[in-house]
Amino acid sequence: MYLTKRSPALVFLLATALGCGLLGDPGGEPQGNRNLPGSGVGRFVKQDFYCDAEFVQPFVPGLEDPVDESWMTGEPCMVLQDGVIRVWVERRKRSNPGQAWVSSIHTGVLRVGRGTECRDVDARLDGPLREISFGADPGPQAGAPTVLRSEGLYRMWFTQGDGEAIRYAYAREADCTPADCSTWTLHPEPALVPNQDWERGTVGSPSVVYTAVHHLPGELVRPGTPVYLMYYDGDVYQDRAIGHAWSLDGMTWIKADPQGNEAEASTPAPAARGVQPVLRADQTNWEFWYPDPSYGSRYVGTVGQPHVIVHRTPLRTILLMYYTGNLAGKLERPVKPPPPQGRDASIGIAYSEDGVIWEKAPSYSERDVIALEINPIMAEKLAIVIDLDKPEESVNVFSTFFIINEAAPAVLELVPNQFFIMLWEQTDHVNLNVAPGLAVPPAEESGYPGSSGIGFAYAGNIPF
Amino acid sequence: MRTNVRHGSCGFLVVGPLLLVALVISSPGPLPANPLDNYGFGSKWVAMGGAVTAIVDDVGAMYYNPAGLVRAESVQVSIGYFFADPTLKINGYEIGEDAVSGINAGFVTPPMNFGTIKIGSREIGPIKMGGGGGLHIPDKRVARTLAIPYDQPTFVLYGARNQRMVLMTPFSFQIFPWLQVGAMVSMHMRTSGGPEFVIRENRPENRGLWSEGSISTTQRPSFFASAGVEAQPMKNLHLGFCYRGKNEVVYKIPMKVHIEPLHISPELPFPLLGESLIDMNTVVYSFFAPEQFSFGAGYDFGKRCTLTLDLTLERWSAFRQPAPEGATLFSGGIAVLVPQNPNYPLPPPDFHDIVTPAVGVEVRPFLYPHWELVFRGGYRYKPSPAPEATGWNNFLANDTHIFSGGLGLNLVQVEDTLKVIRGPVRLDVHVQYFWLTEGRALKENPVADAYGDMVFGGSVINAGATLTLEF
Repeated sequence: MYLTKRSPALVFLLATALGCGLLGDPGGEPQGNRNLPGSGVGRFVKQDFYCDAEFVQPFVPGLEDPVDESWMTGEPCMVLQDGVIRVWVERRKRSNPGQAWVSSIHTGVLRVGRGTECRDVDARLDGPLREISFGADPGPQAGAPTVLRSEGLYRMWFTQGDGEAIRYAYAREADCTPADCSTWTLHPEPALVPNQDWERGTVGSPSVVYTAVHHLPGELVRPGTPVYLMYYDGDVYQDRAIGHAWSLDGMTWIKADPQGNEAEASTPAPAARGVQPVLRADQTNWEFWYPDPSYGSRYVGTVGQPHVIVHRTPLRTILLMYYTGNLAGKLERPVKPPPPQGRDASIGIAYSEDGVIWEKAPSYSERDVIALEINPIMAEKLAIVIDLDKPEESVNVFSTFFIINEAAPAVLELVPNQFFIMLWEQTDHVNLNVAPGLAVPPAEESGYPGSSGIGFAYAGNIPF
Repeated sequence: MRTNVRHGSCGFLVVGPLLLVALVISSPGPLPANPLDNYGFGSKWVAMGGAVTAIVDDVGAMYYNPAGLVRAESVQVSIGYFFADPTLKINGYEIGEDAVSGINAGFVTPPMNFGTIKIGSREIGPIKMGGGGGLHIPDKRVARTLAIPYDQPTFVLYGARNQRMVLMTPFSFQIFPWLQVGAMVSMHMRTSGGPEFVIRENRPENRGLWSEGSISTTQRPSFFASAGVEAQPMKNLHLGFCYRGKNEVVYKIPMKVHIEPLHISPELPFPLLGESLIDMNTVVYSFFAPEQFSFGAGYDFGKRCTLTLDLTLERWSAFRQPAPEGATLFSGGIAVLVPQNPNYPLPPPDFHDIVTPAVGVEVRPFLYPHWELVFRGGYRYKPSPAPEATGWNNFLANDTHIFSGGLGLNLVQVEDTLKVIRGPVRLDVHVQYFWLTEGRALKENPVADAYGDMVFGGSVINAGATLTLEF
């Protein structure tokens, strides 16, 4: 081969072609995973507010329960009010498990922003909690509040007593500002009482939405007209399930079920007693507690403490229900040593397009579902299962020593289809039994609360 | 341009292909696939919508139809650059997809003339053989594979997750003056193998022994073919056909962890956990490009205008789940503690075959002795091969309209000025605009995944230029 004048040109061109492609900026390049949409399912990431402890401590400062007090904070609810997040909680206590709870409702402002230290998002109570007053005494126990703003009023529904009834109160907009929302007017009559067979004498933990997504016929309500939909616990302390009622004014309610049965909600002895729940426990790997000796011989799963939000996707508007699985009654404060019996509560999700027919997210219970499990969306799922009698894929832990309960969720969709925040009640036996010794410095010095309080998590793309 | 086979050129024609064969064996370059399927090869042809199966006759023939290579009449060297910037959105938010850019380069050798062959009373020929080489190199990285969670929404056609170098080594024959055939064989390197660990407890009887691991991998070649035909049955009429084989790389990644008996407590004379084995196997299908059958036609309206038409069948039904799929087996002591999770198979993508029509036009209004100015335009329609994402798969694919245009400036008779280059010198530029029409994903169960209902779409703008020299 002879070298010609064109050879250097060819070599130069080939070398240029080969040399390029080795330049570049390794790492940090876009991967097509920014601003992905969120359906409200999660993954919810617990935020760690006490960075010096070994395990994640999601308890919101100001909403945790100090170890030396007997009060518990729970049943949170959030409302976005003029750009401010107002939080509502119950504060409760009881001396012994057999006694009735004593509870009251408190409110405060939650500040949520970019995180520091060991967390991505920071959430703190801005100022103290204030106990609300109703003007008339609703009794020694008022708890599990749900609040919304509609038709010019702030409206609240809450549990009276230990499940005696669900009551209604309202506040004028002038009396409920971001600075103060503690003065309410109590409606004299209960909104809803336990009068159906399945409720077995207790109701509670209401969640109310005001929406045009409902099942009411066009002859009754013009299509597109919003109504009030309520979801509540029945049979709170045993085979808990979730019932439904609707109202045109928020005060007079009608219980309803998917089969079309209806009954007046506030009448102690209504004509119909066969209205059924809209959600029952049937996901056996997390809504049931297997150490219960009656497993297999009677119905022992529970679902309750519903929290419903209206969720607008780009293609439709649906209702999302966050709820507690595997909890009878309310969470108790963890004690040392742990009791021989205990349930491991977790949080799941379901959706509805009409408010009365609900479908849960899939879980491992459904063997023919070719998908990753979704439910429960907030739980600890330990890989190790020593109790061989427990069904496979059960998320329930094998020992009460390791129970971490998540219950009573409240969710706010801060940026539509992008960013969700969640508050819930958490009790943590691991924190009580193991974590104090792993904190640096030890828990008594570092100040983190240990075992009980309101937890905070987020899901989606952080907007700040 | 006359064919001029010189002694020096003959030597180059012998040694050159040998060097290229060596490069093919050593390089991981796959067949022209994803980046070239989307953004083409050579600005002249991209500007005509890629509807050039019947008429391509330069470096671009390596991708569009290798049969056209033998029609080149001199040494051609071509180098070009393109930059494609996607703006892809889900629910109104841009997802931050990476741009695709790189260099396309190649060369064509003038054909070797073997003269005519007599078969019976019939003469066949003159038979000519041509060849060359081409490559595409991303300018940010030589290769990239991103394995993402199976349910993460992804734009299957225009996501830039998988990028790699492409090396092309074609050859082409002229059977009759009006009939050319060509083919190309390219090679992938398939990789399999992975680590194996042995975990040992720190105990007196293990003194001198350690926990250890090793990695063993094997690379094997996979060959993929492309072939084509060009014909000119009548004056001014061109017909063409090109076949491109399916492109796919399979990564098989096994991992074994042997755990020797564990006592946990030093005082225990017997192990709490017996000898165990964790056996994991992961398979990933990557760099998929469908099998393609392209039929093309072109017509010259005198010297000033050429109109082309292509129809391409793309076999997307062979697309396999690209997310890593794994199976984990526990045996021995650890199997007592850890439940054997069922390994549910990932849902199949259920893609379908599509037909993409394309049209192209070249108009040559300015043809002068020293320079020529050419205008080009094209359109291609690419329907979505994916089903609506109503379930657990979130493959997002839109019906896409692709508009293209470009200019060509040819400097002819440059030998007096540029002694080395015989001419012409050709500079082609192109612009492509991809309009992804809005797609919808209405989920059967909107809480069965983390993303819910979606509307998605966007656009891609691709621009580039190619310089071609003839010697």
